[in-house]
Amino acid sequence: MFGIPEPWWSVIRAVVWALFIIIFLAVNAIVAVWLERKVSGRIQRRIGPQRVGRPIGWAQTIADVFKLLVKEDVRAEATDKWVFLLAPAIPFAAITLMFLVVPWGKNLIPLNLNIGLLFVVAVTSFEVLGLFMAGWGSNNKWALLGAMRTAAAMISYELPMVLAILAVGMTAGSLNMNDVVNAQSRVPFILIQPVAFLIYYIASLAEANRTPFDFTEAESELVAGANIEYSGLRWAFFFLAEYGSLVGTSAIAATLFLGGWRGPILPGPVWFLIKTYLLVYVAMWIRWTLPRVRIDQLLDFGWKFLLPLALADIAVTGIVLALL
Amino acid sequence: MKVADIGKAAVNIAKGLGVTFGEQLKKPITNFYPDTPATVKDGYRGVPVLVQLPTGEFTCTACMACVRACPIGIIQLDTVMVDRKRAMDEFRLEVGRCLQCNLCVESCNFDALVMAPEFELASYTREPLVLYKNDLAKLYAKYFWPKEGEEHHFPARVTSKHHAPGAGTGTPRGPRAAKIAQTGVTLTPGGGGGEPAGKTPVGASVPAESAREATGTTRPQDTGAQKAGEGA
Repeated sequence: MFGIPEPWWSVIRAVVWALFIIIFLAVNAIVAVWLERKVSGRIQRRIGPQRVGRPIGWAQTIADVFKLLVKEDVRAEATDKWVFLLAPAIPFAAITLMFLVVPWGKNLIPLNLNIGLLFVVAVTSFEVLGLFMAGWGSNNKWALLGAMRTAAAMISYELPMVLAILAVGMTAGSLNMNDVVNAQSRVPFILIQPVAFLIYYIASLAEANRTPFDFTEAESELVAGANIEYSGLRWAFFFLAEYGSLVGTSAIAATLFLGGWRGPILPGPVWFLIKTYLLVYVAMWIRWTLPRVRIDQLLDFGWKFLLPLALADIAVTGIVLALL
Repeated sequence: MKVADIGKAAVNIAKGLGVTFGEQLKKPITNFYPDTPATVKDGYRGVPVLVQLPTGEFTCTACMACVRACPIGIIQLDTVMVDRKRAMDEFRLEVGRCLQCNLCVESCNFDALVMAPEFELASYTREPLVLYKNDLAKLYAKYFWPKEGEEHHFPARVTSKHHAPGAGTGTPRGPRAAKIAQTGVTLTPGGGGGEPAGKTPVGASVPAESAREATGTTRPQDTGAQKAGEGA
């Protein structure tokens, strides 16, 4: 294409997509933090940030980013050096990889894997590795407690999440993200698989460490959780991953259940962003409504309710598919 | 964990989400304070200020009641003899230590001290927090002087006993108030200022009595304190 030989063309394509995803995640963090502060403000009948970038405070997060960039990179003596230094990169890398298989429009997908759904499940699990490395490498009891809780919560919620995704895969008859979107050309899967959507969304809140399942942070209990010893840019990477994970799980939910980029009049990427940020907004709305559940309640709910429900959903889906 | 509990929880979560969504549709109650001036409620105690009429006259009689009433002794009052009568020469208030207890205002028999709703007192050093009579008069003028085309109303003195609306209309009493009445300043309705009391001897309390009757306030400690002030 364009007179460029094929191997080079693939390299250019990969680099452009990688840059796009990373820039999208960085911009998303800025927008999502701003949105979070605005939504929380409105729920508490405040107005949120408004002074930097009047009148809506659009420049507040950008100013915060510059503050984080110039902060000192602090590392305590007793930390496990390489584990501590490398940990912030892993959650961010996992989120970046997740966007590799998310379709933005017709034929607008970074990598058209035929096992896209499986790939998503696989790479999101890396996030917990990064957080656990942070907790372990910090050599701090609060960080370790936060990391342990996160690991427990994420592993418990990974299973119902995978099963919910599996139900979607069964309905669509494919694990390819493009096929899943195309299967929703008439009816979005949220109407066919409402239970799977609920399970996925609850599990994704736990996966993205959002309230009511925000055990990584748990400000009121663990000070700051796994990232307590981090400051400046390294901390910013955790933050980037947190909001990236929020938008990532929302993007997957939009693709699997809301029809992805499909929609009338507007172009595909616009529909995709609208649906994604609608789900991001719902997550924020939930965050500023519900308190944090206790860790044992969280595990109880995951193992004793969501997992059986997800299994039952798969069984019902299988029976219905066999009968049709 | 029972399934019924889950159902109940779902209903309650939906209720909670409904409440928070409703809140988002309401107007924020944020007060843009430095951009738009903040307002305080009636009866807010900021700084006790000296009543100064637009004619430039203080209604203070230098009776020292406020000095004695102040629990931390931050009021200093210098007196001077004018026409063989004692008058206030300088008034010093360390507002940085003021408790806003209102005792000086309540002890004043001539309503020459009132609480101004001033609250922007922050300063980098302690010196600006010591206010003299002219500073206090400036604050009085800021809050209580009539606007263009209005009559001058003396501020209502809010005491702990008479916190109800209408109580303590703050009409100045005593000889000084009567003298001021001659200067043509309109006093509050029902005030004793209308009395032709220019030649009233010092210490006569005719206008004060009439004012008290008019406003209907009763202050048992009045007589004693007033006598103490006059006797000094």
